[in-house]
Amino acid sequence: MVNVPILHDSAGEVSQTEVKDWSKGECEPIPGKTMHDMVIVDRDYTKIYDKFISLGPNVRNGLAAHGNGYQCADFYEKMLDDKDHLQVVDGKVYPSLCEDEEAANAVLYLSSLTNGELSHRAYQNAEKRTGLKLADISEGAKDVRINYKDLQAKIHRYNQSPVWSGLMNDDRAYSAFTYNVERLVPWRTLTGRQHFYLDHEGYIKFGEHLPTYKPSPRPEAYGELRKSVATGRAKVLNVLTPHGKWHIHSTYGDTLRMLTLSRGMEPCWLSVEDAAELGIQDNDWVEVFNDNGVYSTRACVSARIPKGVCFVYHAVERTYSTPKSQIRGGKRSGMNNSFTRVHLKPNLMVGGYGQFTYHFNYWGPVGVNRDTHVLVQKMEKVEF
Amino acid sequence: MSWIKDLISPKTRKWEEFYRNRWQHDKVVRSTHGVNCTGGCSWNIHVKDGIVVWETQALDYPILDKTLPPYEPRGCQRGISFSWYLYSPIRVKYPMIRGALVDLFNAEKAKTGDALKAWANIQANPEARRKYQKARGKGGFRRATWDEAKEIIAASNIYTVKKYGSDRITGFSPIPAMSMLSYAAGSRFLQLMGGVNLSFYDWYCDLPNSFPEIWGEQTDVAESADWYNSKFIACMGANLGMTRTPDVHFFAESRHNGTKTVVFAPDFNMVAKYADKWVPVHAGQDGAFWMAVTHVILKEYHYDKQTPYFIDYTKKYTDSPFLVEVVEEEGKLVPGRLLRAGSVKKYKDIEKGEWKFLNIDSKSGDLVCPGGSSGHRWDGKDGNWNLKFEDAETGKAYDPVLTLLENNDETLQLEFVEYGKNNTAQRGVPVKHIDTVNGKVKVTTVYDLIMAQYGVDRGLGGDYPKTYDEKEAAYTPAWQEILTGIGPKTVLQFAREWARTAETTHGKCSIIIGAGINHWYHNNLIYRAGTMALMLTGCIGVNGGGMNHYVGQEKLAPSDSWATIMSGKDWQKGVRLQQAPIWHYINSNQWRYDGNQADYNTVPKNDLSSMHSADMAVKAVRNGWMPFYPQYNKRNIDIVKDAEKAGAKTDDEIKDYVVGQLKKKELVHSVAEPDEEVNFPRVWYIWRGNAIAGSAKGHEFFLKHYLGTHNNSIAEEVADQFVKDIKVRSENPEGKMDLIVNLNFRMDSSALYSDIILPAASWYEKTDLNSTDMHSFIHPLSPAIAPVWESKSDWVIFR
Ligand code: SF4
Repeated sequence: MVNVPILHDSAGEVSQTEVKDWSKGECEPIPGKTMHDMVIVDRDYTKIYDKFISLGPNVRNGLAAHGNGYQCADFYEKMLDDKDHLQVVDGKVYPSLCEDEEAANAVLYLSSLTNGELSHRAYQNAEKRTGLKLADISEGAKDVRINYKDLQAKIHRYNQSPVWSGLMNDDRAYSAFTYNVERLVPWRTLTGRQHFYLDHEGYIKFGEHLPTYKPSPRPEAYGELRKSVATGRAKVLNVLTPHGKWHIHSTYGDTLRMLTLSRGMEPCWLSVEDAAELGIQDNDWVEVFNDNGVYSTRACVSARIPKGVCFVYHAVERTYSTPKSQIRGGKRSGMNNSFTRVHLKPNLMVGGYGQFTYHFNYWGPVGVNRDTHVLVQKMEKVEF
Repeated sequence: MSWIKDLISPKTRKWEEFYRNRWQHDKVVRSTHGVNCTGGCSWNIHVKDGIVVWETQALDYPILDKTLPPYEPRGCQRGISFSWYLYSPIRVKYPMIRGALVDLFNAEKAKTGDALKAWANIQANPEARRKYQKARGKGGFRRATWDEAKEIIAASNIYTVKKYGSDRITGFSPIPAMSMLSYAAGSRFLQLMGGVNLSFYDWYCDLPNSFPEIWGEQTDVAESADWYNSKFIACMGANLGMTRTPDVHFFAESRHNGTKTVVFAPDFNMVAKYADKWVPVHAGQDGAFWMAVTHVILKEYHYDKQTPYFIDYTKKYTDSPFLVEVVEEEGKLVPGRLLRAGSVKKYKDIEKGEWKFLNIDSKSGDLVCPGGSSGHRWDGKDGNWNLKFEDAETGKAYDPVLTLLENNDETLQLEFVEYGKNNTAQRGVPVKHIDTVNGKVKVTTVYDLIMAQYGVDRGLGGDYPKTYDEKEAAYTPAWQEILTGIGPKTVLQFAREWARTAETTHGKCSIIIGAGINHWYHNNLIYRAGTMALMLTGCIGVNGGGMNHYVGQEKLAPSDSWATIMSGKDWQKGVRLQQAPIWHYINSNQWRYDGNQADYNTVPKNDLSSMHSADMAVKAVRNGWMPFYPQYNKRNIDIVKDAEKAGAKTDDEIKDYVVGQLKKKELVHSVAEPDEEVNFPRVWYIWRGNAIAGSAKGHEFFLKHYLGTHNNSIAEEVADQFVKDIKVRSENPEGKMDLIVNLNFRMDSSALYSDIILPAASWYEKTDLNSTDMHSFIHPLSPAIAPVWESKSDWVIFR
């Protein structure tokens, strides 16, 4: 039995006009309406491998994303003509996903982005739904098919598709929502328009129905400095953790080149004023800490940083330059997430209502971290 | 002159061979970096004698529209160093297992002769469990064979499925777009097994909640070439030179094309130096600046002068003409819900009337029901889901009334709150009386509410600021200065230049925005503040316009076919896709250290807003707003078996049985009792990401409650004072997880803390696909060489 929340781009978007809790007797529990749904699934644990390596028959029913679907049974059948890339499970034949490249080609062959005919079908379906003329957009690209080897040979731009909202005809640069504005296709919201006003009961009760300003949470109330108090020369600073400069993107900072070009670690960037007040000189070792944990590193004193704020670039690795923390009894100190803790914003959890309906990576509270405050103090003794 | 001869003699110049050989290669293969950089740059990987020797930028990017500068060359100064990793000392070369665990496992297996029993015995023995959990993060890995590693993994899977259910097996891998097959490999494996995928975009705090709020869209933005089409770019919370290195040239080039660029950043960052203007706004206060900008735009370009392009756009593409009920609350008048079409006589019998809304037609003065609403999308009828100025129920054309200023029944004083200083203001709003099936109601338009909220004095009486200099009045340029540290003159100049540019170019002003804004607690409000200025000046859905948010490589272009393959939906319905922030907040016990959000979030006082976030999560799961796995305090297969025993035959009867059990509280959602052993997540797969450190908000709580190892948290538990629904057990469980498996090509912090590390192929050693929102191309990752040492591609490992 698989529990499924009420989903965006489904009729679940029109299920809950009010906030009512069945568990408190405020309404009846009705799966898929006032509560999550449940799906009963047959799962044969001995068949997982076979299914993994073959593309299952449900593809025949069509594919969809963002509420835009298309039929592709004929393309699924055509895959079965490719004798070199098949799997047989219980006497039935399926397209093979056994090798990486087979999986890559299945994605490309069945996507409206890389198969022009499927894009065209998706626009035709959108025409029906909207009562608008749309399929002219994909008319010229119907014959486009891009496979994995094509991508290796030369760089390809993908097709436009109603899955995405930008128009790309005639080598036009992609800009979001040009499809909505020029073609009058609604946004996937309550009114179908761009929303100034969010009339969900939760938004009204949290005071966010109209665009507004709210101050950042106060450090006293945020609760990360309940027990960590400034002893000696320490100071409360708002810690920001931007993207690092000497990393391949954020994560890969442990190459010899990156470490050599930088200080060999992620320092704590301090303003000249704060550093002076704390008796910290550039390159001194410091502890950056709060109740959640501690990060010990060097200070980088810079005119670039404003007072009251410090930076620690994410994402620090614990695999090098990690001394023992003095303030936490000599245990190995941590990294830039040692001083963070999750705080969820509740109104971002509401659902079952227009655009406020769950979809994976689409809706829900996010892992905020910029409102974190820490104490920074000089490290007297550095031990590894 | 003999020395000249020497120099040209091939014999004595043999040393030059060294340099020639340095650039020899046998083949060149196209790949890219699967790194969530959003760059998605095509690279040529040069191979000699089976060794990757270097990489160079691919130079064959097609030209888009001839008026735009080319994309190539793409690539950043860091990406070009990637090949170091292939042969680096931190490369994971072989499968490795935590020594303390492998000893326990081997001993139990020798005793029982059975891998599954061995695993069960270890798990049944708290001391044994503590032993290898305490060793997490402390080295002591042993090289193993693939078979040894797979045996333990398989045993833990089967044990967990049999004892607790497959929804206790979880996987985390971020950002599929950067190498979508590698992502799909693990998720296909998990979903076919009934396991759980954790989301990533929200967890990384890269998801801008304002996008779903405003557009019902996860994220949709312009490719970077379109920056060149912009005539005014405001860049905030994004350090393009540093983090959008292959794209920043479009920003620089746009200036040669006459574009004005303004950068908002507390520090003088790398992109500030490219800009015409740097606005050193206080960290996190950008929202206040934009509130004031919109105040000025509304006053000068919507009210004093009704700019036709802006007014037409606002009418057609935003909810501004929609009617909102004015309601009384504790003796005050406040804006309420949108007026439902089904509540007026004319439309009371239409399908899904609660989900269709009303405008007033300017010609007839009648109520009209515009098509395109969610009700029209889901009422089962085709052809009405569009933005035409057409009443979808009657088919009649109309022209919506934007404001009731000229034509109203009365002016009412509504209350508006400014949360910065907690000032309330009574402001006049024009109102019409409408007969509904529930009696007379008072309504105004969204547009009129916006005018009042922003404090645009239209002669309706009440607490409207009279000038831009009123510090106390929301949201004047003087008001914002207190918060941002930026003088009102800057706001005025900015707002006027912005509006004039948008008017002249029909919407070619844009915002480039990033993590520097999105990682704040109130990120949705800051984004909305900026987006209001864009929408009110017609800058959305226009080339050169847009709210261009680049945080994380979220755009998986071929998501239609990919989503099916990654979720195993080609075989089955019902997938377990988990909202990660809630999952970690609850399961890593961080909720227990969280005070009441109402004490740090600025909210009006009422039942909902005073709830602890953990209780809200429980409510959200029960109501179907948010998913949560593990599902119940009982194995799912057993629940279904019990239902069948109780006589349930069909799926619906099983569901009825479950609902009954839930009502009687015989069955409890795991989210409501996360500290009961039966509800612990047990097995965690981590691949393509740094889940235990780099992305672990509350890293120390992960160490404590998931891993059961040493940590530096001294945080106090406080939630018990506030929570009502979620059960707080007196002891705070540590070490919930039985097994952590990490696929990795380098020894990073997550590998360090895992139990089993599997050597994964790097980006130059596997077949995969890559797409991004920075450009509209789709790139391959290719095996320039076979995976080195014993590594394998993620697809092969999960297979
Ligand atoms: S921006 Fe381009 S070169 Fe740099 S890491 Fe990303 S893909 Fe590689």
